[in-house]
Amino acid sequence: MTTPMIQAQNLSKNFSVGGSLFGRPDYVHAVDSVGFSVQRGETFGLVGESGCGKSTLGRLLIRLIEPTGGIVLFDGIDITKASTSEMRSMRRRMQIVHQNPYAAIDPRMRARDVVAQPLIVHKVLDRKAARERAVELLEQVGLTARHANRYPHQLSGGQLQRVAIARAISLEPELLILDEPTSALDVSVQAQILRLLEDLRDEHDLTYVFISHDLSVIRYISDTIGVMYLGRIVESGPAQEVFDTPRHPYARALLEAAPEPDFAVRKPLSVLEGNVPSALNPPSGCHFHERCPIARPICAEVGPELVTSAGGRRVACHFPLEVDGVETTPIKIRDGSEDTSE
Amino acid sequence: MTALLEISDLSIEFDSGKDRNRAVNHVSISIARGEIVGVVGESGCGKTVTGLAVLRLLADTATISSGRILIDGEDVLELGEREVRSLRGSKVAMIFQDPSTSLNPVFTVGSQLRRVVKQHTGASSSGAKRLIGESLEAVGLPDIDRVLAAYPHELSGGMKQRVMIAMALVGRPDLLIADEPTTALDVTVQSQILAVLMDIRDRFDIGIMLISHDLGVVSQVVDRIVVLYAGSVVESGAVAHFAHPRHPYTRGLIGSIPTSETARGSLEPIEGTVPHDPGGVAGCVYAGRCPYRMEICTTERPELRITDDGAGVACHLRELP
Repeated sequence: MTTPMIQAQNLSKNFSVGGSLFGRPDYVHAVDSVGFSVQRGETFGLVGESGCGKSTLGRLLIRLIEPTGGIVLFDGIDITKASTSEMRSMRRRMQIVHQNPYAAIDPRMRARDVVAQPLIVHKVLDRKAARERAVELLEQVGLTARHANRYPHQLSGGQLQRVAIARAISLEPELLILDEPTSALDVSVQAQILRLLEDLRDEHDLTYVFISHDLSVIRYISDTIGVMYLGRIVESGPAQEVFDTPRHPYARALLEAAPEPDFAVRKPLSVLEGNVPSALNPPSGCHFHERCPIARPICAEVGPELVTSAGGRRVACHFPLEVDGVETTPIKIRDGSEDTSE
Repeated sequence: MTALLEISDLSIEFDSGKDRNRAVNHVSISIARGEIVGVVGESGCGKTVTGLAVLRLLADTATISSGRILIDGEDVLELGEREVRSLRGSKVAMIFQDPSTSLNPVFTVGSQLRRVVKQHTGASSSGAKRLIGESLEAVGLPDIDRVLAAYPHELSGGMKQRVMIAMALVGRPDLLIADEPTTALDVTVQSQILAVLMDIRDRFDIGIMLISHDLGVVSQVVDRIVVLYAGSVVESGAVAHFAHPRHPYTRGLIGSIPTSETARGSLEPIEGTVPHDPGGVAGCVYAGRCPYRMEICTTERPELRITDDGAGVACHLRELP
């Protein structure tokens, strides 16, 4: 078996919040004992609603923040124990692209300097050569030399995201963390960026961890996916299979809540009641049990383990939905036409 | 049947001091009572500005250079300041994308709701209580006392949006303009809010203009769709019509959304960008990006042509290849 590009084992991150000066602080378990691995050249899609911990997990993977527990293996090396200098040389191999390029890029720098900077900082090239290389990189992401001298405010959101991507690939990394890279963009521009990311992946044999709340994007770009809920991965496996036959009730509800545009047939609106509970005080046992349509008493007491089944599928549920479609408990469906008052 | 809302030939220009920009370009949209109409397009297409114009909420830099906006046959653009105030809330109400910026953080939900009732209705205190109770119940907030006593930060995003809808309903308007009401919400909460919109449409028999960038959202709940591009209506029709869109932009927009059918590497983005000043474009506003551009497209603006299924398409091309 080949060494995975990136692997998380029992990875946790707590943030302390509130608490009085002398009292015990409260903790948010933003990431709660998460484990998964991504093979070289694969795209792992991390999907979940806001506050589920997906961005925190992304930042842990390249050690932008320190974990509370667990380890991250990058190409077999435990980066959580790496020294600062070891980390610095490893950082060239892992890069991140954020959601909002206007926040991620210095507004006082021209596009070519933004892209040249990592090359200069890591002493790959001298200043002059780096600036020349930057123009080549900008061309690789679909911009022209004309854009190279512009400041961020002179570029559109899509163009600036291309600059951010050019910066991320300038050091020829092996792993890219893409944290909602298309969420701030219009759909037509989003499609342009997705195609660009696909091309770069194939050209440079890149490994992606693609974080998004957008299921259609995750489905399109990913080989394998992980569905997160309140800091835990509740289901993971090959993207196509999880989308076709989700086994965790939350994964299924999430998929049904975001149907594809279908103009020919009006499907009834599928509504999962309730809200995502606070991560500060998550429900006991399975975090999802309060909203789960098939919860039983044990779900409130024991948190289910992520259990691996055939074909690399993993699900953390005491009563996973059947795959073969024999008997799946229907999630509460509300027909849009009926006159309802709760 | 007269429509509840009849926008015809509306044009809106913004004056930035240096130049004038036409944000809305001869737009016509009608909405009947009991109907939900989706107004769809990407950022800057003029969808929000059109909604604001109905409530006469445009900024001072905006000029309406053509058109009429009729509500129940009465032209909103002709109303005086006092009449506009009675139009807002009691005939037309609007909700916005981010409910936390629409609610005042230092007052309880109850005090904000009571203020709106006082402003828009002459209801007695018992009448106000009944109106508020009914409205909250209609949006799926049955625990009325708890909600009324809460400050906005004590409510989740979905609950805040429900409160906003309830607040829009207390004046018992005939038309609700919902501007990206689910965009700031999580997917599971998004479908809850869409269900609320459908419920209140049935319950109060109101018309709803659902402004959205998301065709997936819109296709689930609306009766008709109007697609805007660079300030112009490019295509409109019943939801079923969009299974086979006839305008190249609509087709491109739908093609940009990855679905289960979209194979790896086959996603088709729309190349290029929106024209900077669509008002200054001589022909079709989409011509610059259109893969089927003909000579006439750069010289002559296509009229909205009614197709055999009753939809409207603004394209010189009779049939998409």
